[in-house]
Amino acid sequence: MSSVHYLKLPQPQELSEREKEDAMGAYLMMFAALATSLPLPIINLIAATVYYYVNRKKGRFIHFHCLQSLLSQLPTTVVNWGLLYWGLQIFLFENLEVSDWFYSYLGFAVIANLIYFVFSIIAAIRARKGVFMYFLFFGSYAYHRVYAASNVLIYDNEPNQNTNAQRQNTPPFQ
Amino acid sequence: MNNKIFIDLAKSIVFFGGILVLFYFGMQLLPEERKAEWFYSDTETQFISYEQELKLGDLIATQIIETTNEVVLQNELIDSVVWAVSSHLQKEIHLSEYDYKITVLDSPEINAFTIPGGRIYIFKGLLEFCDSAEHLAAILAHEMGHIEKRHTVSKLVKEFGLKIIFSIATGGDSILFSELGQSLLSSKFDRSQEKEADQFALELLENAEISPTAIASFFRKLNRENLEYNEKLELLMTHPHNNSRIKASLEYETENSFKPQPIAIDWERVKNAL
Repeated sequence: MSSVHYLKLPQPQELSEREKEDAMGAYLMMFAALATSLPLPIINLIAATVYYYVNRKKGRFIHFHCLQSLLSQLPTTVVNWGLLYWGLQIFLFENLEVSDWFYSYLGFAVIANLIYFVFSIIAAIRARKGVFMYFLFFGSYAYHRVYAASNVLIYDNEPNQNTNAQRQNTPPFQ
Repeated sequence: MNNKIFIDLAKSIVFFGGILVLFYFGMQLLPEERKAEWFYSDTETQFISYEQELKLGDLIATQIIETTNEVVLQNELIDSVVWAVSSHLQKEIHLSEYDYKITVLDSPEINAFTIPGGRIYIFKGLLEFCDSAEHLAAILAHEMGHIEKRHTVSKLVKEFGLKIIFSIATGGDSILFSELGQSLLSSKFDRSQEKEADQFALELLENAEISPTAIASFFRKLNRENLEYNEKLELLMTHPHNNSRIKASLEYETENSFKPQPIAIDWERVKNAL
């Protein structure tokens, strides 16, 4: 087991409505962006990145959901790019031919996107209620990044321990 | 970092990799006929029956000469040679729905094209380009492949949609039929269709006791003279994969008992008559 120390998780009643809405927005915003970016699956990623950097300092709960939403988009984006590239090579440039592997990949991409969509909707609903939902791997990683005591990011809704103003009194030795 | 993260990562890879592999094995288990029906078939052709296709071919044929300003070559010797080679091939296409009609157009272009209903058009320039009756047989076998596999119908339905069916039924809309003819003359089949027609041609040539290497020989000549005939060759060289077609022709395995018989046509005489 790891010796990393993690902070206590906030309970739903401890979170403000604004925090819950912003956390939910991390998932819902992506759907709108995804619709505009078809068939080029890149705008959703740009939008998620912007949303992440704009909102991550608002609070750990928001940071967690933004990060989880952003990271979970990476594999589906890569899968969709792969499908787009493969499809173009077959149907537009005619450099490749349809094969069992192509149809298998197509089925895989559809399933991966469906899973991603369903989980994102569930996560959005749960975030709105102030509840955590952990995606496989990305949930654990986002939790580690945000709630590890070693996370030095300064959040707007937490007492600031690290600013220079509060470092006027320093111990005589470290 | 907590070990759980790495365990989760491994689980994700196994889960999604499993889905991909599952799909692949599912495809492998699917019977070939079902696969062809679901994935690889040209569903477009299902909308047009053979009877409709024959009628469509007749309607396009009447338009094609008028709109392209092409003139049919009037030469009995050429007609008889083309007829002899095509009937030799046609004998080997069992259960064909088509009665092939081959027309030679008096044009220097090195080209050939098909329209629905078993009609093949060959340009005089292509006959001049051929070195032997075997070359002509290779071209006809390839074009017959496009017809037997219904690629022409598939292409037209893809491009023009099902309004074709209504036009066949009414027998009208000469503008549409003219456009269909132009499309068949100028546009290309896709790569998989070319490959399918090549495969059909190789088998047909073998059945007709003509060496399948005639295809390789023809495409080698195309490659050799590419620079000289660049523009004229554009249509025949439907994609930059002539070398793979040559390879497929050379690697085609015939039956052990196969012995090619030369076609008894004096090709020099044919060329002189052009």
